[in-house]
Amino acid sequence: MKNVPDEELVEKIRSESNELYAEIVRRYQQKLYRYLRYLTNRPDEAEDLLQDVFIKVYRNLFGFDTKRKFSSWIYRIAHNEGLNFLKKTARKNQVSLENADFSLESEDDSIEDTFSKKEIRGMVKECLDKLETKYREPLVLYYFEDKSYREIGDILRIPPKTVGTFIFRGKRILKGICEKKEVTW
Amino acid sequence: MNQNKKVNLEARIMKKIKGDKINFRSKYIFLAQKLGLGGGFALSLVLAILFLNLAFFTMKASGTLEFLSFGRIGILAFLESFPYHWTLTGLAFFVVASIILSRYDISYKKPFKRLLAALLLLILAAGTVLAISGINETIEEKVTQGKISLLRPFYARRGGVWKSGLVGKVIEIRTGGLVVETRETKKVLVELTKNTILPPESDFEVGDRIRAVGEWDREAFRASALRLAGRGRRLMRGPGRGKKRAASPPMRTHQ
Repeated sequence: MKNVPDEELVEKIRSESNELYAEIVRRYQQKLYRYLRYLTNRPDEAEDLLQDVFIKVYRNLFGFDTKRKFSSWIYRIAHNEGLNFLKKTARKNQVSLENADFSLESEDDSIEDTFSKKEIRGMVKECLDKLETKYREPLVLYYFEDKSYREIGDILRIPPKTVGTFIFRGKRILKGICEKKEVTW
Repeated sequence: MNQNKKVNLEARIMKKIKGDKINFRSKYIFLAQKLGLGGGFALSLVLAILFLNLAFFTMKASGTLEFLSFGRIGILAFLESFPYHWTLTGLAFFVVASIILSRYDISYKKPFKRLLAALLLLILAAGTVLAISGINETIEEKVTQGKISLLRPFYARRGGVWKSGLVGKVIEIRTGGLVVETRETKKVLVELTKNTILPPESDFEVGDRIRAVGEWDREAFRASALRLAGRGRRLMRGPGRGKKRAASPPMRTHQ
């Protein structure tokens, strides 16, 4: 089942067995947890949010168009859940990443990649929470979730060109924040 | 997220699924949503076109734009006779169509402002085409004959009397004024003073449709400016070039 594309797997869950949904959970829990944690800066709540996301995804599985990319769809749901949470708590820019546990490495990362990513993440983690959500999200999706501009556009529902602009500006602002904090870029 | 937490989450979710605590939402709900969205968009688009068409037709029929030909003194009459209700209703449906459009993927894949501009242009163009097609006149005629009573609120006879303007047919010529019958069959004395601006070489005869701007003085309308009016008819008429009419003494205003 591991080699079956997401879209095909969804089709099977819908028509054959709902128990196959466990595979979707396995595939996305690490990625979505990481994304939600970056988005909300609240590791504890991110877990509850993640469960809500998977429940929502399951309930709305018939609403997914299998001609489209499943990962963009599930990230979109996670994005909405994350934003709703932020709106509810109204703590968008007040939370800190100080206590966040950034164990981001997945099974697929090579040692070098993991080291390099860890290094970059370590450098920016102190600054990222100071960044506006509109810049933080594309940066996280691009650099931490390895999403393309088009996928990020589908998740955030903004044109790919705007994604590029946000990433460019976000990097510049982030650099400024890091320099102020005297973090090596 | 450590391995234990991962397993726990998976187990928790699968337990809920197996225990039927969470279920799929019916595919028919999504189908209905999709159809509802598409239908809503089409309906609001059509209604926006129809109401703007009605606004254009009302402007055309009551000659709202013609008030502007008076210059500055006609602006007030133009604003009063403007069909705000139809225009605003049409624009409200345009807003609804825009909101629905924003829920489609195209709204972020293409520049949304350009999409909205194209949508507005489409509505305006379709509304204009409908307004000049003559369909409104046909419907209005049928409504007047009492055939399509459902459309009566939309095509009811428009009045020709406003606070600063007036349109009507000359039924009598008096010294210093004209008795005019408006579309609501109301008889009004339009007073012409020495300050009334009249088109050069103009004359008025019984049966002429006139358009005036000015102000009310009790029951009479004191005209600041006055012109011949009418659908598809020229506003001014020079001497000897008008079509033959029934004999009635013309009121010369260019002594």
